[in-house]
Amino acid sequence: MPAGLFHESYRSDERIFQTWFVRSWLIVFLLGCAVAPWLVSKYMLSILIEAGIAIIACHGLNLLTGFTGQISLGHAAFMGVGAYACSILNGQAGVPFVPALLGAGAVTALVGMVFGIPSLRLRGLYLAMATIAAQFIIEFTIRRWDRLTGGVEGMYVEPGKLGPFYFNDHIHLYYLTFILALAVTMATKNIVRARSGRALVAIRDRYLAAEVIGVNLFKYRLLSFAVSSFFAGLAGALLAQYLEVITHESFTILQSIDYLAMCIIGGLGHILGGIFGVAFWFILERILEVLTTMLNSAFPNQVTWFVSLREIVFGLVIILFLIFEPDGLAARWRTIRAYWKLWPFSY
Amino acid sequence: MQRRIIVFAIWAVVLAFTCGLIPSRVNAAEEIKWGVLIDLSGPTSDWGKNQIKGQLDAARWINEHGGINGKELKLIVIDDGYKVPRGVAGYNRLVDSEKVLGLYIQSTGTTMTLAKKIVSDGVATIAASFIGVFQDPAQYPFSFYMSPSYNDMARIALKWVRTTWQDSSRNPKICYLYPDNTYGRAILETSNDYAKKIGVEVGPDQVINWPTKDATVQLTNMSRYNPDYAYITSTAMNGAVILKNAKALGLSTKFISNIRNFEESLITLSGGAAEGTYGVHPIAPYGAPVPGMKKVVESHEKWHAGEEGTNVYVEGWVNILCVGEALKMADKAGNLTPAGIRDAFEQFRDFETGGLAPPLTFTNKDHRGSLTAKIYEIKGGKMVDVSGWIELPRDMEYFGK
Repeated sequence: MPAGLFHESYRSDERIFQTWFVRSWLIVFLLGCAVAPWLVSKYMLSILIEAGIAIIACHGLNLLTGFTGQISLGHAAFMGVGAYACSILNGQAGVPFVPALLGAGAVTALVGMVFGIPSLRLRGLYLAMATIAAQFIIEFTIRRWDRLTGGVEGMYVEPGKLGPFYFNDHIHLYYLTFILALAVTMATKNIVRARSGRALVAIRDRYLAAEVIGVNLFKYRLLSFAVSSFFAGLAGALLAQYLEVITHESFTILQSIDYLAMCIIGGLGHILGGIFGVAFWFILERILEVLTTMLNSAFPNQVTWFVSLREIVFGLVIILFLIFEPDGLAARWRTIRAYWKLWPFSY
Repeated sequence: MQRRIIVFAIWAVVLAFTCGLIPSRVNAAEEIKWGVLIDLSGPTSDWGKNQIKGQLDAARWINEHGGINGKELKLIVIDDGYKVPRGVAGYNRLVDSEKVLGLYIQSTGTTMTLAKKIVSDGVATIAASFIGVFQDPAQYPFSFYMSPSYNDMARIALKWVRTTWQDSSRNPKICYLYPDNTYGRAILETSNDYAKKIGVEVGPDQVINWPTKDATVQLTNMSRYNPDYAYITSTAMNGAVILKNAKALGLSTKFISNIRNFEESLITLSGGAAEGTYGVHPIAPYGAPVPGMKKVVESHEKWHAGEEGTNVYVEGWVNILCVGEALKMADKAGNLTPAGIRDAFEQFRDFETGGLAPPLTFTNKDHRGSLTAKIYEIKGGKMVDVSGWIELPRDMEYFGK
């Protein structure tokens, strides 16, 4: 590891992976992800797919809420739009899977922009309420547009295929999710470190000042809604592939809140936040699952006591994070890294 | 130093849990695992908690009385919180990781989502959502449930309305109240058709969504049509609001609750408004004078002294008693696999649970366990039967719908 990191140009300062050390660890991590399907059980693989989908969704939400400061409580509904759009394009209209996937993203981006229009006038809690409206309007539309969405009966999702890959095979779906999660992470990082990202952060921190220095508020707010919804659409389309059947009950406001919670835990306004939040969430969920199952087997008579454990712990975790680590795990990670980097001369 | 040791210990425990190092079962060979995917923390959790209580007690009772031919029946309970993705994750865990032989699924959304997967995985399932299509083994060969479908129960209620109708100058009138989801809309098509056939007039549907806070608007709309009966598809928590509003409006309409609405908590939650309303139910209420009830009441008093026994609790018992019987038959046949359990269920011919539920029959062409239910009335805060067993003919007209 170099003794110090000295930047002599803006280009080197803005580089994503600044040292060979970081780069080599990243390669190890990616290789680990790439061989994971052969190492883990079928059940763990399905969890990894879910986590990958959640990462894509969280990046979208993080861009909107973390970087632009616009709280969205309708993210799951946007995922629903993507899920239905992809399934309808691929299954009913006969569009090949990859264009259908991108088309689903585009349709969701469009829907997101429509619901993003109020963001010009509404901020903070009022915008949050507008996005709740989006959640309910979209859910209602899915429920009632029977001929297109199958209504309350739900809809079977035609498994997507791309050349020799069939995405009802979980290993194939895992790789698709993995590649897309990687691509979305890179895309988000690049949006954030470019002009548009600086504009979004300026709007978040003080929109009036941003407007004064020449940031087009409406354009960037809408852009952030569009990109966020595009990612939500991709995540939704993947979730549809994973679930194989989609109903309006798969995309409720409870899901939306879960995604927001993941972002808060991971750290709003950090690229790593989306990844850390999802990882933390899924690992905690597994631990609690094992714990409650063990307690349930040990004390079958008290089964109804232990099931609430999950809800209590998750609620507690969110509260504790808001109090002690409002910047989330990403900020803590930064502190830990700085500590090791500077040790033993941390002054 | 002390603190470091504690931190280290916590990490060690966490690590051990995640790696699954702590052995959770010792005599794995003598265990039969059955999964339960149920809502214990979501919007239908009050129902789920009584159901799981019944199932666990029934399993315990079976194990104390010889088990499954000497083997222990073990229920693995997973809470899905009525969320579909969590339900799917729970299913994957039960099937791929715990390797259960079969499972019980509560929520309609999860059941619909998993329906196709269950067929391709070949896992025996007991559903709590009595959607008629799951009774067609040509489509869903592994799906069973110990009750008439929602459709059949609605038809039983209509039949009762027709047969008890006195006024010969006109036909009885009925309205349906339901939430706008799969569960709520399941009965509409066949019930409307059947009502027309037997001469019951159907008024405008009233959609009352969950969570129900107020149903005055829908009830006022309904009262313009002034039906003699209203059939509620809901859950007790939400249905109680409907009954309270109806009482406040002073409606003369008689309400008939479906199975998920008609439980003890409806009586307590509605604060007396449920008095005089009806319900259609295939399961004997808790404490009913039937031979099979003795062990249920004894177990409840022994293990849950001071708690209230409910008909959902009895339903939990019925589910596991039937599962236990099927497992015993499959084990005796030496084929303790999901396919063996399916074959065992399909050999049920008028299987008796001591009067807890009507006799059950499954064949490989027809998974309608029974087509029989009773009408109950709430009198003095108790469920009292006001009809005998009402049975529909086992014809193919509404089969699998």
